[in-house]
Amino acid sequence: MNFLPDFSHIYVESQSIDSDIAKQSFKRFPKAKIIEIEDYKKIFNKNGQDFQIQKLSTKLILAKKQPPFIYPATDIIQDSGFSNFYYCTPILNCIYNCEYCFLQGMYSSANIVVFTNTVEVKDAVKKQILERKYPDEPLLLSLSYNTDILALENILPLTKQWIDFANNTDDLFMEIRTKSGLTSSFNKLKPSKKILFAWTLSPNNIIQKYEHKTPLLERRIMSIQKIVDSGWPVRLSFDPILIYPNWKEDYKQMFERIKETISGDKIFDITIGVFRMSDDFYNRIKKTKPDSDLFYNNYDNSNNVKTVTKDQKEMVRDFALSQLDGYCNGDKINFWD
Amino acid sequence: MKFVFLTALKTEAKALIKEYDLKESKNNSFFNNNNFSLFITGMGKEQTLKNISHFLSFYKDLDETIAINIGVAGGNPKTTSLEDCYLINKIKNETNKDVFYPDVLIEHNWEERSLITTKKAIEVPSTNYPNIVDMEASHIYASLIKHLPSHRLVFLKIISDHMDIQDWKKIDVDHLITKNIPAIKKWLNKEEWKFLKQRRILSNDETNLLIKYFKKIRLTISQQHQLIEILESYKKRTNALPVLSKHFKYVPKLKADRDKIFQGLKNEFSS
Repeated sequence: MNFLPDFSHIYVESQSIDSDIAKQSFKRFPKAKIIEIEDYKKIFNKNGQDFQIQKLSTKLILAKKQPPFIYPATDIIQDSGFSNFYYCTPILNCIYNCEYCFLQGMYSSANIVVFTNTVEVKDAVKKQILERKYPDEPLLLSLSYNTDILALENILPLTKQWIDFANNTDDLFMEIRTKSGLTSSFNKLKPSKKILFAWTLSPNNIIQKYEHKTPLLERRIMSIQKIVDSGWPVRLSFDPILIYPNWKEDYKQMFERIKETISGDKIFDITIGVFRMSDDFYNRIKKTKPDSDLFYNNYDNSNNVKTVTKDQKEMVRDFALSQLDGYCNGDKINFWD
Repeated sequence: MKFVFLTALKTEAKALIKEYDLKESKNNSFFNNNNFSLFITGMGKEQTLKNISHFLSFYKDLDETIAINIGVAGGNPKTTSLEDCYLINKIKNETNKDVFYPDVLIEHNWEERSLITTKKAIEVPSTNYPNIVDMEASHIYASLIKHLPSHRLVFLKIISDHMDIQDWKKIDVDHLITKNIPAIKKWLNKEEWKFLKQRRILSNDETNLLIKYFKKIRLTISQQHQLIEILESYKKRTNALPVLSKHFKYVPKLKADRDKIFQGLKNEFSS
């Protein structure tokens, strides 16, 4: 295919053009066309965009984030028992293209926005820590609600900077969700108990069919092994577990492979979930007539969230629990419901 | 995939009409031959808006069309070369300050530039116009973006002057367009264009058949939408539409009968 490579174009706000992130981006993509813009929203939210077609050649947009810099987490994200749970958006959108991902309903553009004023965002996090509702507990900050920040690490090493920030900030616990296989940046870092890497794992059949551009299962497992063995806390996330003919066979193989390679004693916890998406995002995606078969199934609608039936949810829970029986302490397993 | 060239002037159209063997149609300023067509928009805001509106009134294949605005334009001598063609990646309307960014997805061999659409021809180069100027692009984008997505709007500008023209009649527009046609033609032959079509689940024939059925039993608009969605899902799951004729043989006399048929269809074809 002769589509232009990802990041063939970098759209940069005038106020971000001299930022470190802009300089790093220009250096990383020396052949990119640099287009100066006034306001990223004029390109990111422009009319007449097609998320899936833009995925054929994703562009980079560099901009200055305007407040708010930090948001309380929604019910759809698993909080795993953290009362002060927030997320921030250093990046909008993801280099991967998972068919079940809500981002395609959240944003009209598939282009990736990286915010350049990281200092201001970090100051807002510090302020929120001081103002947190439950002062006896730390603040959990999810960095990758709207992106897979680690997947971009070899393009822009933002994760490493955020880890440094967390290590130097009291009462901050940080969650980094990922499907990536990029861990080389952390080999030289001292493992930190304040950082929770949450790896989403799926069987290869699911990865190949639905999780486009992501690393295969074995690569993710190898990355987890390295990180866990170094002493970093790691969450295993089986979310979403998708139901289709013979799904149990595929997931059984995956669980077996995980059990034989990653020690259950060393992992922080496990989260399990099923397909779920807010009605608004689901309907917005469906309007675009996506190719994905995931949007042509019947789902239950509970509290404006499209999800599988209660029976299916229970079937997934029972199956996953039976597969993980004896792998780790049962208290470490959380299920989204 | 279908391509429609949009030119401001007849002289810009001449070489394209010849190259693609386009025939004038009964619609004013429209030329056509299979998958290629050309429409002359006229110059400046008023003519462009009026003529594009006329074009949209008769042109029926927008779902699978790439619109290419091609024409001569003024270029800043520091950033452009005479007779060269440039792909436009940013369009600014000088008057109302609107800015548009066409999606640039397919590989090409041209250099890219930004463009400013002005009210009048620019006859003195200045830093206010750092790249290319024309009098139509922003009006074309603003009119068409309501009907075509950004990735199917393409702007190609060939530099006719360095904003220093005294006598416009001396520009050989036909020569400028002709010179650049081989590169344009090669680009449009790329396979990638077909991926930019509007995604559809039901074909035109299937949609027309459904509309005929829906009219026959007088479904409400809401019922039509619901059934289309159900049948699209059915087709996605099974790769084909079910045989529907038996459901539409009986013409209901009462609303209740119609609703019963609708409910029956809904129950039968939902997953």
